[in-house]
Amino acid sequence: MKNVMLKNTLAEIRRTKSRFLSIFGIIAIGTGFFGGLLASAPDMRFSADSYYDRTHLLDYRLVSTYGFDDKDIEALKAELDGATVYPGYFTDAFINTDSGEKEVARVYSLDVTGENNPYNSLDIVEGRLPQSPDECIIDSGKLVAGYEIGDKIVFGGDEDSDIGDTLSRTEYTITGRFESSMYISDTERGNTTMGSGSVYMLCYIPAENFITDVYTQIVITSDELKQYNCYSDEYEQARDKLGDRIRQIADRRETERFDDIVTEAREELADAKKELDDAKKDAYAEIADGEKELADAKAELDEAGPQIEDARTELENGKKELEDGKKELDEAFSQIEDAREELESGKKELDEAKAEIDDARPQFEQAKKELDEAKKELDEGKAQLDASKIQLDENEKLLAQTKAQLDGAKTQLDQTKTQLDKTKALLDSTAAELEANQKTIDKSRAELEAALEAGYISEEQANNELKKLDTAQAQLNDSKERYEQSLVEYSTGYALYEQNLGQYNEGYAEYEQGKAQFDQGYAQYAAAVQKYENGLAQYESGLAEYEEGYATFLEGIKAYEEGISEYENGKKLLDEKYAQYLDGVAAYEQGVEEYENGKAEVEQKYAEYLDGLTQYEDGAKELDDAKAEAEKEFADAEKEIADAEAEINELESPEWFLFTRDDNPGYTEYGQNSERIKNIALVFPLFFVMVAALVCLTTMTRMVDEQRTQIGTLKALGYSNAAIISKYMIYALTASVFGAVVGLGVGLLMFPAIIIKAYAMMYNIDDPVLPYDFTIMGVTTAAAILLTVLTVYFSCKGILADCPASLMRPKTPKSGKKILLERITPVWNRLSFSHKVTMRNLFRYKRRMLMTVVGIAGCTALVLTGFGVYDSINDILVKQFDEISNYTGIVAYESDELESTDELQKILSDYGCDGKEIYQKQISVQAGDRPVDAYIFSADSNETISRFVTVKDRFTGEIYTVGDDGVIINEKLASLLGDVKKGDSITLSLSDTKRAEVTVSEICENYANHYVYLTDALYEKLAGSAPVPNSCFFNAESGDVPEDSRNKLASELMKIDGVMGVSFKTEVMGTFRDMLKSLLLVVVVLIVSAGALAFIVLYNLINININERIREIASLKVLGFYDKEVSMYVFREIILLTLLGTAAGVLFGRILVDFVIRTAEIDQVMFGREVHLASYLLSIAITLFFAVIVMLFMHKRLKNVDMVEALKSVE
Amino acid sequence: MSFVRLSDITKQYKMGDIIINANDKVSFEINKGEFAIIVGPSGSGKTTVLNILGGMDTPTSGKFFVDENEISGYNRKELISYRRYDIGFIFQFYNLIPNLTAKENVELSTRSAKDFIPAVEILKKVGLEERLNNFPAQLSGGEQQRVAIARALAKKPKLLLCDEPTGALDYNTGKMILKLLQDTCRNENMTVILVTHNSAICPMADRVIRMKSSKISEIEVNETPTPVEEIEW
Repeated sequence: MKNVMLKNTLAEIRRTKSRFLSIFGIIAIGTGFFGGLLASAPDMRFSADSYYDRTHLLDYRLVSTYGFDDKDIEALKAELDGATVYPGYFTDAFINTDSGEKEVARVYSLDVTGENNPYNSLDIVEGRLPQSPDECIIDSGKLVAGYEIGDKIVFGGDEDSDIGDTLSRTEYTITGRFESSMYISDTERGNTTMGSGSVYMLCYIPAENFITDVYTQIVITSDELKQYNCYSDEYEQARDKLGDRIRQIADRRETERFDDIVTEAREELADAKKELDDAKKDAYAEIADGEKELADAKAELDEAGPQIEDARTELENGKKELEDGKKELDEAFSQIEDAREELESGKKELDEAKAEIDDARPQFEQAKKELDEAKKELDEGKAQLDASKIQLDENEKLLAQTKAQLDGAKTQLDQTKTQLDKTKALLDSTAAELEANQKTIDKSRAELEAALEAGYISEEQANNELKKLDTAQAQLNDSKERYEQSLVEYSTGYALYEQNLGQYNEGYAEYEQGKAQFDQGYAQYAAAVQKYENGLAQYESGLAEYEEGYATFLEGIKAYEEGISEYENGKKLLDEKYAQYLDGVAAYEQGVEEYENGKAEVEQKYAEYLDGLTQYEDGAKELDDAKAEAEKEFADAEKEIADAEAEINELESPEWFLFTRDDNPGYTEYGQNSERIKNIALVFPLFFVMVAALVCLTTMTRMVDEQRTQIGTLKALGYSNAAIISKYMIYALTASVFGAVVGLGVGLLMFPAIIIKAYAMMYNIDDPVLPYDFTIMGVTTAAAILLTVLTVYFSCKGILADCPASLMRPKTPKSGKKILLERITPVWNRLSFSHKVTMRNLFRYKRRMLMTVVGIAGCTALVLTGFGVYDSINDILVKQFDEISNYTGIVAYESDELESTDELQKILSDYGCDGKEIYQKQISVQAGDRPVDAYIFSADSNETISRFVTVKDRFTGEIYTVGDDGVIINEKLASLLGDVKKGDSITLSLSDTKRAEVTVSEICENYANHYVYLTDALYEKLAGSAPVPNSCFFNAESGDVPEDSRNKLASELMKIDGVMGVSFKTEVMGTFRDMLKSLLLVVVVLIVSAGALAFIVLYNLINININERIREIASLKVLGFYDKEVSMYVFREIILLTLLGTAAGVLFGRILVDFVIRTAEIDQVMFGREVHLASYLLSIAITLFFAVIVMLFMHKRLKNVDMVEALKSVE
Repeated sequence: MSFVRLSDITKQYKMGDIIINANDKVSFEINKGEFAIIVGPSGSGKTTVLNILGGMDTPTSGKFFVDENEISGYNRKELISYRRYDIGFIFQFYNLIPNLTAKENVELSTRSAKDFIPAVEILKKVGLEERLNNFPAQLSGGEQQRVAIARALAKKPKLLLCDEPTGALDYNTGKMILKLLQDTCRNENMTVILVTHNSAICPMADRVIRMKSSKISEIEVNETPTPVEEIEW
C-alpha cells in the first residue's frame, strides 16, 4: 500500500510539473536568499580570515620608545610558546613622486633569508622579492599605480631626521609589487607623523640596510590564534590573553631594560666624577707656583720706580730753562722778521713806482707829437673851408639875379595872355551875331518868295522888298570880312605868345638846376665845417689832459728818489740786528742737545721698567685666566655631571606599545561592513520566507481541492488520514527539500560571492572562501520543511475532516455572493458591468486577494528598501558633507597646544584658507546606564562653530545657536543615550576625574560621529579651566583647496612643530563614496531578488486563478470574448490588486527602510532617514514592470486555453 | 440554398502516432428555421461536429457554410466574432459564470451584441422573472439551463447549438427545456441544432442526422415533427 501511495505521488509530480516547480522555485529562492544573505557576513569574515591565516597576518605588532634589544627578543621568544616572534625594522621616509609631490613611504625590513620574517608570504602580485641589498618591493595599491618594476626609489628624511642614520642606502630598484594582509584597504596605508600625515606607499627592503642599534618593531603571530575566526569574540579573547602575556613580558622588560640603562649611566657618571677631582687637584698646584714667581718680580719693580722718577725731575728743570731761552730768541727773531718784512714791502713799492715812471715817459712823448700833427691838419682844413665859402656866396648872388629876370618875363606873358583871351571872346560874339543876321535874311527871303507865289503881294512889292534884303546882305558880308581879318590878327598874336612862353619855361628850368647844385655844395660845406669844429674841440681837450698828466709825472719822480734813500738806511740797521740773533740761536741749540742726551738715558731706563711691569701684569692675568678657565671647566663638568645625574633620575622607563590587527588600516572597517551586511541579512529574508509560505499554502490548497474526489475515494476505500495526507506531504516535502538544496547550493555561493566581490573593490581580500555552513543550511532547510508541513497540514485539514460522501460529490461551487459594495447602490450602479464583475471576483477569493497584495507589497517594499538604504547612506555623504560640515579641512595638533598659530595661519592664508582653533576631544557622555563616546566640540563663540558646522534641526531646518547655558548634541547621540530630550541633562566625562552635568539645549542633525557642541565659556564653567584648542578647522575661500595643492598644503602644515595631521573633507568623502559603490551592488541584489519574488508570486497566483476558473474562461471564450477581453476579465482584478499591493508596499517599505536602517546602522553613524521621491517612483515602476511581464506571459497562456477541452472536464 | 451546409468535414486528432478521426467527411445541410437533431452513440463525433459548427473547433479539412458565409475559412479572430454574434451555445452543464447573477450572466452575452433582447425580457420569456438576481448556485438545474438558454438567445444568434442540454436534468425538466427550444425554433424561426444520444426525442425534429463512428449514417427529414409534449421516453 505504501508503495502504491509513493507511485501515486511520483505520478502526481510528473503530472503536475508546473505546480511542483512553483513550490520548488519559491522554496529555492526563499532558502537561497535567506541562507545566502545569512551566510554572507560569516563568509566575508571567513574569507578574510583565511586570507589572514594564509598570509600569517600578525596578531601583535610591538613598537617601543627605545626600540628593542636582543634581550627583549630573547625574552619574548623564550616565553611566548606557540607564538612566533619576528624582530624587524621599519621607518618612514620621504619619496618624490612623479608628479613632484613629496610623499611618505613606510619602509619595512625584509629578511632575505626568510628566517626573521613573517612576510615570507607577502603576496607577490607582480615581479619578485628583493634579492640584493639595493632592491625593494612596493605595494600594489591604487595610490602607487604609477610605479613600475625597474624604477628607482630614493628615500629621504626631513629637517628633523637624517635618513642616513637609519638606512645605509637610500636608493633602491623596484623588483615587484605585493599585497599584504596588513593593508587590506586599497587606499588606506595608515598614518605617520611625517609629511602630509598619511602613508602613501609601502615598501620592503632587505633588512641589512637598516643600521640602527636596536630593532624598531616586533611582529608576533600565534598559531593558536589562527584557529579562531579573526573577527570573532573567541579570537579577541585569545588575542587579549596573548596580549596580557606580552604585556607582562613588556612590563618586566621595560623595567629591566630601564635598570640596565640606568646602571650603565651611573657607572659612567662615577668615572667622570673621579676624573674631574684629579684634574682639579693638579690645576690648583700649578696655579700656586705661578703666584709666587709673580710676587718676586713685583718687589724688584717696585724699587726701580722711584730712581727713575728723580732723574726725570732734574731733566724737567733743565728743559724748562731751555724753553725760556728759546722763547726769548723766538721773540727777537720775530721782531727782525717784522722789520725785514716792512723794508721789503717799501722796496717793492719803490720798484713798482719806478717801473710806472719808466712806462709813462714815452707815452707822454707820443701824445705830444700826435697833438701837434692834429693842430696842423685842423689849420689846413680851416683855410679850405674859407675859400669854398666865398665861391658859394658868389653863386648865390648869380642865382638871385636870374630869378628876378625870369619873374619879369612871366608877368609880361600873363598880360599878353589876358588880352588875347578878351579878343577871342569878342570875336566869338561877333561870329554869333553874324550868323543870326544871315538867318533872318534867309528867312525873310523865303517868306517873300512864298508870298509872291501865293500872290499876296505884288511882284513889285516883292522886288522892293528884295532889294532891301540884298542891301542888308551886302552890309552883312562886309561885317563878315572884317571879322575874318580880326581873327587872323588874333591868331598871329597868340602864336607869338606861345613862343615866348616856351622860352621862359626853358630859362626857368635852367635856373632850378643851378639852384639845386648850389644847395648841394652848400650842404657839403656845412658838413665840413661841423667836422672841423669837432676835431678842434678834441684836440683842445687832449692837450689839456696831456699837460695835467705830465705835471703829475714829474712829482712822482721826485717822491721815488726820496724813498730810495730811506730804504738804504733801514737795510743797514737790520743786518746788524740779525747777526746778534744768530749768535743767540747757536747757544740755545747746544743746550737742547745736552737735554736730549739726558732724556734718552732716562727714557731707556723707564722703558726697561715698563717692560718689567707688563711682564708682571701679563703673568698675573695669565694666571687669573687660567684659574678662571679651570674653574669654569670644573663648573661645567660638575653641571654636566649634575645634569647627567638628573637625566638618569628623570630617565623614563621604555614603553612598549602593543598594536593588534585592529590597528591595521581597513581591518576594523571590513569587520564593520560585514556586521552591516549581517544586520541587513537578518531582515530581508524574512519576507521571502513569508511569501514562500503563502505561495506554498495556496498551491497546496488548490491541489488538495482539485483532488477532492480522489481523496474522498481513498477515504472511502479505507485509507487513513495520515496515509492520505502523506501523499501531499511527500509531494510538498520533495519539492521543498529539492528547492532548499538547490536554493542553498546556489544561494550560499552566489550571494556571499557577490557581496564579497563588491567589497573586494575596496579590499584586497582573497577570492571568496565559501564554506557550506551546515548550521545555516540545517536551519534554513528545517525552516523550509516546517513551512511546507504546516502549509500542507492547513490545506488538508478541512478536507480530511469531511466525510467521504460529501467529498465524492463535486465541491459545491463557491456561491456567488452579493458583496458589501452592492449595498451602496449609488456607487455600485455607477460601475460598469465589467467593473462590477471585477469587484465581485475580487472579493470572491479573499485569501488569494490577500496573498497577491502581500506578495506585491513585499516586492515593492524590498525594492524600496534597497533604494532607501542606498538613499540613506548617500544622504550621509550629501547631508553630512554638503549641508552640515562646512569646513574644508582640519589641522590636528600633536600635543594640546601649538606654540604659535601664526605660521599655521600664514600657510593657510597662502592657500586661500582661513582657520580658527577648536577644541575637539573624544569623551564619554552618559545619561542613563550606557556611556557613549562623543566628540566635544568647543569653540570661542557660536559664530565660530557655525562657520564650520551647520547646527540645525533635521525636520524644520531651524538653525540653532550654541549658547553659554547648555550644550547641543546630535540626534543619534540623543537616541543612544536613551532618547534624551531637549532640556534633559547629561553627564560629560571631561577628564578622568572631572565629570560635569549639563543641560541639553537643542538636538541637532548629524550623521557621522557624535558631537557635543558647546562654547569655551561653558566648557570653562564645567571643567574649571578653559579648553586649550587642539585643532584648527579651516575654510577655503574658493570652497575647496584644489586637488593638486592639497598635498603641498598638508606637508607644509605638517612641517610645523606640534602639528599631528591634516585632513581634507573631500578626501574623507572619497572613502565614503567607495563604500557606497559596493553598497549599490547589494541594492542591485535586493532589487533583482525582489523582482524574482514578485514574478514568482504573481505567476503562481495568476496561474492558480486561471486553473481554478478555466471553465469560466472557456465559457467566456465560447460567448465570443476577444482575447483581450478575456485577459482583461482576469487581469482587471490582478491590476487592481497589484496597485493595492504596490501602495501597501510603499507604506510597508517605508517602515522597513526605517527598520533596516536602524538595524544596519552602526553606533557611530546615523544614516539618512529620508527616502527620495525617485526611489519611491522607481520601486513602483519596477514592481509594475514585473507585474506587466507576468501579465504578458499569462495573456499568451489565456489565449491558448482550449475551450473544448476545458468544458469537457466534469467537475 | 441551405442555411447551414457542411461538406466533407473531417476532424483528426493526433494521439501520439495514432491519428483518430473524430469526423470523417461529414456532409449535411440544414435549412433556416429547422430544428435539427444530431444523434448517435457516445464517441460517434456528434459533439465534434457541433463544436466545429459553433466555431469552437476547426475542421482538419472540408468546408462549411452558415448563411452563405464560409466559416471554415475564418481565422481566429473572425471565429471569435462569429461566436460572438452568430452563435448561441447551450451545454449539458450550463457553464454559467458562478459569480454572476442570472441577469448578469445574460448581460454578459448581450453586453457586446449588436442587436439583442434585454436580459430581463428574455429571462421573463424563459420564466425566470422571479430569479433575476439569483446566483447560479441558488438555482435548480432546470433554472440554470433556462438561464443558459436565455443567455444564448438574448443576442439573437443565427444558430442555436445545444449539446445534450437535458443530459443533466430530470425527465420533466428536460422535457420542459426541449419544449422551450422547440417553441423558440417555431416562434422565432430560429435554426436549432441539438446533439443528443437519446434517439427517443428525434420525432420532435424537422431533420434528424444520425452519426456512427465519426460518419453520417443516415439523414432523415421529418415532414411532421411531433410536439415535445407528445413524446415519451
